[in-house]
Formats: sequence, C-alpha cells, structure tokens
Amino acid sequence: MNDDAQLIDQALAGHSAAFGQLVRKYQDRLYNTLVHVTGNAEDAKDVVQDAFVQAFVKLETFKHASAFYTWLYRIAFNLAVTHRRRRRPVVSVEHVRETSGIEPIDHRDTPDEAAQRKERRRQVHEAIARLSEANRAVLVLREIDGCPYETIADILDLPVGTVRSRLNRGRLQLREELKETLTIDDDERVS
Amino acid sequence: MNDKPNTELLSAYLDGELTAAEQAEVEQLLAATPAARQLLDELRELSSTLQDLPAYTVGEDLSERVLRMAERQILSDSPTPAEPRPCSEPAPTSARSIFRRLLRPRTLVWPAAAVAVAVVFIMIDREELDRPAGRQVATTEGASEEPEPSSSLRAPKEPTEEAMPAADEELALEKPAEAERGTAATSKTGPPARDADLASEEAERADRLESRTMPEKPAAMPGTEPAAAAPAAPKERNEMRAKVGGGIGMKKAKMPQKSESTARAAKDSPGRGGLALKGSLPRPNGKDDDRGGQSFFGNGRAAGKEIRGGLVHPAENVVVIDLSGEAVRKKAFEQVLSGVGIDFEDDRPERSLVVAGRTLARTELGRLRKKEAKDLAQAKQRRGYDSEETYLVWVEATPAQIEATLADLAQRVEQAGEFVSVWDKATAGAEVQQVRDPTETFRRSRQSREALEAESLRRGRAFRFQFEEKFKTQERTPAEQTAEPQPPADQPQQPPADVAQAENAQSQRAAEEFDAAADGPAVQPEAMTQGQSAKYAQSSQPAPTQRVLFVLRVVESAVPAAAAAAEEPGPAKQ
Repeated sequence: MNDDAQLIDQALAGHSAAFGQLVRKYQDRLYNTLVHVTGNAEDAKDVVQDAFVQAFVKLETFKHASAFYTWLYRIAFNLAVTHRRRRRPVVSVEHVRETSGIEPIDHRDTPDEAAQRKERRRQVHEAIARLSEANRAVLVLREIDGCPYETIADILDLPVGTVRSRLNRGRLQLREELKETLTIDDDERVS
Repeated sequence: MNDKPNTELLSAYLDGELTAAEQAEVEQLLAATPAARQLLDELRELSSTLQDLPAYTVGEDLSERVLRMAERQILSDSPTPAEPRPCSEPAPTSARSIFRRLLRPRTLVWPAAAVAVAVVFIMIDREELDRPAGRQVATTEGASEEPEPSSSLRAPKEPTEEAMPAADEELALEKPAEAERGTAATSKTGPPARDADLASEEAERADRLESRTMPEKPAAMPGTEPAAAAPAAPKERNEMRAKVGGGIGMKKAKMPQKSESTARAAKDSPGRGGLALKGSLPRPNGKDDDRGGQSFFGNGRAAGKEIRGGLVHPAENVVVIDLSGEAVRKKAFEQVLSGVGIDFEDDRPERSLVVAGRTLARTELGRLRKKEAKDLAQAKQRRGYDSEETYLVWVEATPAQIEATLADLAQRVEQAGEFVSVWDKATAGAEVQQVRDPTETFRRSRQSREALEAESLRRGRAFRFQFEEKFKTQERTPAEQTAEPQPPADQPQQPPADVAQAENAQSQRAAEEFDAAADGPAVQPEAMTQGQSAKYAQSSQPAPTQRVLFVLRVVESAVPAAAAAAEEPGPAKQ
C-alpha cells in the first residue's frame, strides 16, 4: 500500500513511469477478474486499459481513503457496466477463450486430464456467466480475486450485508448448476 | 429455521466474515445439523473449484499504451481558453508548483501530441546556430561575453504572396532595424505572422519534412495539473486576432516569430550564469546530429518515448501563456523576462534564427493538402479560434530565474492585465499541435539537396525550395553577407560530447537546485532587483539552467478575463 501511495505521489509529481509501475502491478489481477465479470476477454482488456487511463487522468482525485486497487476496481467495474451495455450478450469465457486463442495459465494440466479439465472449466465459466450481473460481480470479486466483503462493498458501492447475500445467492446458484461437475471432481479426487 | 439464512451464514462462515455471535451460532448449527455440514462442504468445494481456475493474464505490458491513451485523453479534454474548467479539476496551481512539475521531465509520450491541428510550425536549425542570421535574435543579457541565443518574434505586416525570398530579404533588413532598439529586450513578441507566404512557406517546409503529423497523435503530458492560472476565455478570438495583428505589426517583420536556438549556444557557453533565451532544440544526447529517436511535440507517429518529427522534446517544459495584443505591443513578456535577468537581444549574428511560428489558418488553403486544410478547419472550429498569434520562446535560464518568471507571470495574471492566463504544457498540446522539426529537414537538405529539389518539383512545390535558399544564406553566401551583418567573433565551440555533458550536468543541477529551493521561500518577482538580475547575468559561476518553452498566444485584450469568463461559460481565472 505504501508502495502504491509512493508511486501515486510520484506520478502526480510528473513521473508517469511510476504510474506505469502501477499498471504493471495490477493489470493481470484486474484483467483476470474482469474476464470473469465481462465473460469476454476482449472486453476485459478494453476495460482494464480504460480503467487505468481513467485512473491516471483522475489520479489527483484519489484520496488514499481506500487502497489504490480498490479505487481502480471501482473505476473498472463502472466501466465494465458501461461497456456491457454497449455490447452484445455476454459470451462465456470459455467460448471466448476457444475463439480468441487466449489461454489461461494452468500448469497443472496433464495430457490425461486436459480434456476433462477443459470441459469442467467450460461448465464453470458458463455457470458464472449465467449468474446475474449483480451476483456475478460479487462472486468473482470474492472467489476469483479473494476480496474481503468490505472491499467488495467498497468497490461495488454496496452495503456489506448486500454483498453477503448476493454472494450467497451466487454460490447457491453455482452449486446447483455445477452439482454434477463438482461431484465428478470429488470422484476424481477420491480415486 | 429456514434454510436461506442458514445458507447465507454458512457462506459467510466459509469466508470468515461473521461476527462473533454469528460464528457461535453457525458452529452450533454445524454441530447439530449434518445437512449444514454437507452444505458447508459443498460450498467449500465450489469455492475451491472457482479459486483453482487458471488465471488469465493480459499477455503484454499495458503501461505504455495506457499512458499514451491517458495523454491523448488529457489533451483532448484539456480545456481551451473558451472552455470551462471541470469542477473536478484542481484549481490552477502556483508558479512554484508549475515549476516543480516542469523540472521533472516526463517520460511519457506527450510530445506526440498533435491532437488535431496544425498550428505552429517551427523551424530550427541547430547546426546553423553559429551562423549569422539576418533576423532578430533574442539573447540573454546574462551572457556577458558569449550571449546566449534567444528567440525573437516578428510579425509580418505585409503578406506577400510567394515572397519567400522576399521575406528573407526583409528579414535581413529587419535585423538592423531591430538592433536599433538596443541590445536588451528587443524582439520578443513580434506579431504573429499573417503572411500567406510565411504560412505557405512553413507549410512547404513541413511538407518537405514529410513529417505530416497533422493530427495524428496527441502528445500529452503526464502532469495534467493546470498551471498557474486558469485560462480565461477570450471573447472572440478571431476578432481579437485581427485587431491584435494590426496593432502588433512590428516593422516589417515577416516571420511571425522566431526563436533563436541554442543548442550551439549552450555549447558555446555551457555554464553561463545568465539565462539565455534560446530557441533551441533539446538535445538529450548532447549530440548535434543525434536527432534520431528524439521526441518532439507534434509528431504523432511514434509511440512510446521516442517520437520523431516533432519539435518539443518530451522532457521539454512548456508553459502556455495567453496574453493580450497590448501585452505584445508593450513587450510585456520581455519585461517579465528582463525582470529576472533574461533579456532578448537583437542582432545576435552568431546565432541563427530558429523559429518561425505560423498558423495555417490564414494560409492559402489551396496550397495545403485537403487533409491538412480539413484538419485545420476542424481544429479551429473546435478551439473556437486559431492560434495565429502564437509565439514560441525558448528560455534557458536558471531554475530560480524561471521560477521568478513564472511567479511574475502568475502575479500579472492575477492583476488581470496584459496576461490572461498561464498554463503548463498539459494544455499546450492543443495549441502547439503541429510543430515540426526543421532541423531534420535542413540536415537532410544539406545531405541531399538535389533529392529535395527533385522532390519539391515532383510535388509541384518548388516554392519551398526557397527555404533552402534561406538557410543557405545563413551559411554566409556573399549575397547574404551583404544583407546581414557579419557575426562578431567566432564563438568558441565545444565538442558536442562536452556540451552534452555540460548540459546534462546543468539539467541535473537545475533539478537539484530547485528541489532544494522548493522548500524555501518562493522567489518573489518583486525581489528581483537589478542587482539580482545582474547577479544572474554576470555570475562567473556556471549556473545550471533549465529550458522552458513559452508558448505565447495572443488573445483579445479588450475583454477582461472575468468578463470573458462570464460571457462564455468558462472558469473564472484564478
């Protein structure tokens, strides 16, 4: 955090390279989150870029009241909403990945498991994509990004109680949709 | 108990987000209810599955692109004098803060800033700096023995069609006249060039350069804070311009503005304590001919840090000043400079002329390509006025002098007099959009004059070749020598490498000095007495210097800033 604050101060003082460091530091994390939120790799990248641009342009308004990445995420999620409204229906991440050739990093895949893993991932991504936008945003921030409830509330400008209930609803829906997948997973682990 | 609340509690329990009371409640539930335990396991499994999803990565470093996009946005969003300043934007900062930012070179790409329109054409010939030029030259007073070159601005009064050569002659003739004014404080702000010739000349030159940077990439500077004062909104610029132009006419100056350059000057007297107004190109590498990779304002071609074709180096500090035509006539800016020991001097033959600022707006559009004409028109429409009266003045002075200059300017803006506003380069890009680097042209022309000529003919623009001639005169052809005074004594020239080192050292010292000074009391313009000026000028100790480009834009003098702001929903001037 201190590092971020320092970089921000430097950027405000005219050292744009300092902001470049912030971009490099958070771009992948933000991108990974947004890929799941938008369900579209291209959109996610656009939003990430736009979010950083907006952050840079409005850097002087950042009050250090929250962490930089929280502020950045807030910008990004707002942009994602705008972006989504301009775009077509959400396409599953898996579909995007297959068509765009963008492969997530997964070093655990072995040739034997590759097919099954791929299929499971597709199901999970599709299940996430079927969540309502509200629930999906909360669930992704919690499960994919590991944000605490309070941070999620801050990013999405929601009461913590709402975050908790939306997360619960999202989990229940996913659990229902992925019952079979999770069971297979369990079976595999047992065996 | 219904299942729903239990689920939510379990979900939060899984995340460790329960209060102590809720925690106890859930633990009780789990101990007593197998179904709850199973649900918790399922949620845990789900969570694990989600968290195990492979991470997506962008696959590239977005920082460069982001910064470029940000600069572009800053430029496109930057308020013009006629536009209101967004409430969210910080109020204009003090001269000190501007200076602080200015001293910090940006690594960004703002130099690529040519958002859209061609406004100012600048011609610089570093290599010819030590040659006599039949033009006004602004120099530094402080440069006792080896006066630094400076910039001179002139306003053409009699537009002559296709009078390039004629213009040259006039320039040559002009010089003596200007010299009469005295050494110090001479030509600073000549009226903007109105001559179609000049415009076309510049257009031609630009053409030659082939750096058609029209509106390609805007260069933005990272620092986006407004400078000292919020730009006030002049009423009707065009109108004003007309007035100003008429009033400004300084003799027969043909070139709208000229700034003297300096690269060589810096070399010659690297550590002159005085300031030198130089219209020089920044030479980051200290090599005269090392222009490759330099970033200059106005080129939109290159991305990243190295942009070619523009004029202003990314590290160049830019301050945009809106001033009235009256201020131009009164040489108010010169006064500000001389107040801190920086003076324009006429007749510095050893320094060649460097800048010719000119708007295309008044050029014969027919000579321009359609695209250029269109871009210009759009830009003009967007800004609400063209920047015909724009002068570029490079000042190389000590940090203290520059700070004092900015402080004085800020104060004068406060007084709502001749200076309407002062902003930093964050907004400069919008005005100094099409700045080209003629150095390259000249160099190329020297290398392959015939090729250029052939190209010129091919494009049906033999006219532009007159530029060649023009600069040729600076090489002291017999004809030129008769028209232009001989340079005094040959200025000692240091090897480029030495110059580079000296400049780098100066630059560094300047930054350090400022940093040190920043904590102390600000330099008050009033405090700049003659003695102090003399100190700056005559100090035998080489003082570190900082180069700043002042972009002077002439605005309606009859409309007070406040009135203008009221009429046009614009932010009140600070």
